[in-house]
Amino acid sequence: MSSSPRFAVTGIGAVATGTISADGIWHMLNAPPAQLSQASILHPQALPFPFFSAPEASFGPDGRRHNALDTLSLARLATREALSSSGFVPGKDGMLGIAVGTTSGSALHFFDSYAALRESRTPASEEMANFFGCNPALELAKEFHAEGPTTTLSNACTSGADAIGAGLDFLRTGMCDAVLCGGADALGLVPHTGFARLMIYSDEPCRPFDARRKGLNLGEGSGMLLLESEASARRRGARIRGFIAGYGSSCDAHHFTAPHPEARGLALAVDRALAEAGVEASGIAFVNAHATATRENDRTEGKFLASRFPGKPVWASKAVTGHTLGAAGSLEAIFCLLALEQGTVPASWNFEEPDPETGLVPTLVRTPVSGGLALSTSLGFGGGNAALVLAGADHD
Amino acid sequence: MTELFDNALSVLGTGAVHSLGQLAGLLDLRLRDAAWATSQEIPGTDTSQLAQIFPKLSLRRVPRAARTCLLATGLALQDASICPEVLKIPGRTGIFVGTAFSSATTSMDFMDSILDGGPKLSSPTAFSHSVSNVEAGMLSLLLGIQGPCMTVTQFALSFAGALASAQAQLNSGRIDLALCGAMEERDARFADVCSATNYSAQAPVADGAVFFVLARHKPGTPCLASGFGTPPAFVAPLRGEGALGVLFGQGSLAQAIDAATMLAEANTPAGTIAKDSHSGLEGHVIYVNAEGAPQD
Repeated sequence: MSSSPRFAVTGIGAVATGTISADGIWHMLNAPPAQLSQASILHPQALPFPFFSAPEASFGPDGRRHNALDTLSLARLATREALSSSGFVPGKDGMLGIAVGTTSGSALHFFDSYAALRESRTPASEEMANFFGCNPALELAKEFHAEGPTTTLSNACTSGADAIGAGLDFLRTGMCDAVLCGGADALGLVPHTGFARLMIYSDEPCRPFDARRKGLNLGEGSGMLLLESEASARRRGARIRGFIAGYGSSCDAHHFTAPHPEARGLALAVDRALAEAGVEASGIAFVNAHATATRENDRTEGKFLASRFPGKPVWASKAVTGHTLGAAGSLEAIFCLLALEQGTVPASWNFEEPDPETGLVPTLVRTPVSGGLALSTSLGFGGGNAALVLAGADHD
Repeated sequence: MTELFDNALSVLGTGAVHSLGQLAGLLDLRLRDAAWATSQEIPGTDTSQLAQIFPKLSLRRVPRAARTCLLATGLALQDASICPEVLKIPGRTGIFVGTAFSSATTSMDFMDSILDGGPKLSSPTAFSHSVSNVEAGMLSLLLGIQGPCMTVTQFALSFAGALASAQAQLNSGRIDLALCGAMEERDARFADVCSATNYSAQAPVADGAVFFVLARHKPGTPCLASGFGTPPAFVAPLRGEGALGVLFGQGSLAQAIDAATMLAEANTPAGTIAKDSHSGLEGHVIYVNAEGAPQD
């Protein structure tokens, strides 16, 4: 694969617990984790596993709707910010594409309607109308005049990273001139129950990589980037926030819900991303790990990162955001870009005791970094793996 | 190639399986009218041929939708004369599945389990099999494919989106081979919810999966491409008003079936073969072009 030209991030938009814009992200990452929200917010019947709620204001003036509109609302907010901050004008500046990763946003989101039918009640109309009318990529394409390639990617927890990879390839092959890419997910009773029943959900704040970790906390959010060629960005005089230097994607082909014990697929994805970026592991300044705080993920990923990136800072950020599913990979790509801008990596909260199975200790304090390149990893149901190499704006 | 075929991919093989047969059956169905389709008892897909194509595979606990995809993929690989062992070269084959509703049966099963016994007693297996990428993940697992696995879920435009993703990854050199297709699964409970809320046209009437084995374009081969922006003058969808329209008219399979039936015909002409807009709403358009191999 050709390693040039370069593809620049000129717009960033983000929604996560405690913030409805990218401006609030750095403060969120460096402050102690926010208090978890009770699951009863999602549904009176929800199991008592707390989650990181998106701010109520991020769902629009009518608040959380408890249907497919919620994910679209988060995506719309982040997309609007990313496009606005980039200054890119669809049509005038070129053809715009859209790639949005999600899980809840594409699931069969009509639990209440089905429940009503089973009880011989008449379903309310809003839920199904929003199920069919709130597909993230399709609706955002219409709203933001994106006439290029359009994909709503549903690859479980790698969706957000894969959407960025899709955007990269759309640009590389000339299918469009700029891409809004990233991910979004709001929660509801069905996905929340599903994760709880898989016995991987912690009833207390999660502890990524910690020996006593009990599982993940789910979260809500959206992270969107405006990606274009460096030449296009410089021609427009846009502010470059960084670059997507490499992307790798793979599947374990081992087990549907558990990662390959030797991280076979993750290694392949990371190798591909590094090769595309033209860099060895030693050239990476730090890693933002997937680090969901489940026993399986953190064991597999922790062992791999400890051996592949010895001595490199490994940052586990999900203690602050929760696992935002389809948004995770794109939010964490944004986190990496911000950390590269600041020259520091935040602490990994809630870590106290190293796991002897991995030997990995994530960042315990805010850590200065230099070198200009970061790696972000994602792993998902179905055995998917995604790796992104992010470069700072000043990196050659 | 016309200018519409920027980024086009060569079609090495096609496989289709649906409630009323396989690829040859689709060509027959094109001759049937809507009234005939409406009068038919529509069964689930017959995936018994899997035992012949993949005799060593254990399909225990593989959801029905994934079996349908696996059979369509197996038929496409046979059509392409590609040995499944080739797929195991790490990272060089990608999977791209377009689906509006993925495994509708297991999604409804999970909702039933919540309603039957409450969230505390709901089925974790049903949940894990209800995620949208279950088909792509199962194809990866069963065929040993370690490359990228993408699932595109955007209703009627799902296949076109999957094809666009395959184009982007193949033409950027990320992979060398793509298994790209669409699938849908009927479910009576899902159909009932759609019917009760005035969305009956959205529920799949028939099961099915269509898969293509795709590679970077080589001259003289049949090819597929997705297109964006202002569509050119186009030929009306092949499924039209007849039986195919009744069975597949609204779902993600429709464009894939149009592409498959057109490529399957002898002396296939060039040109745009389908245009679809987002269901029920003023629309976003992605068009799919198919072109047959030039005739000597």
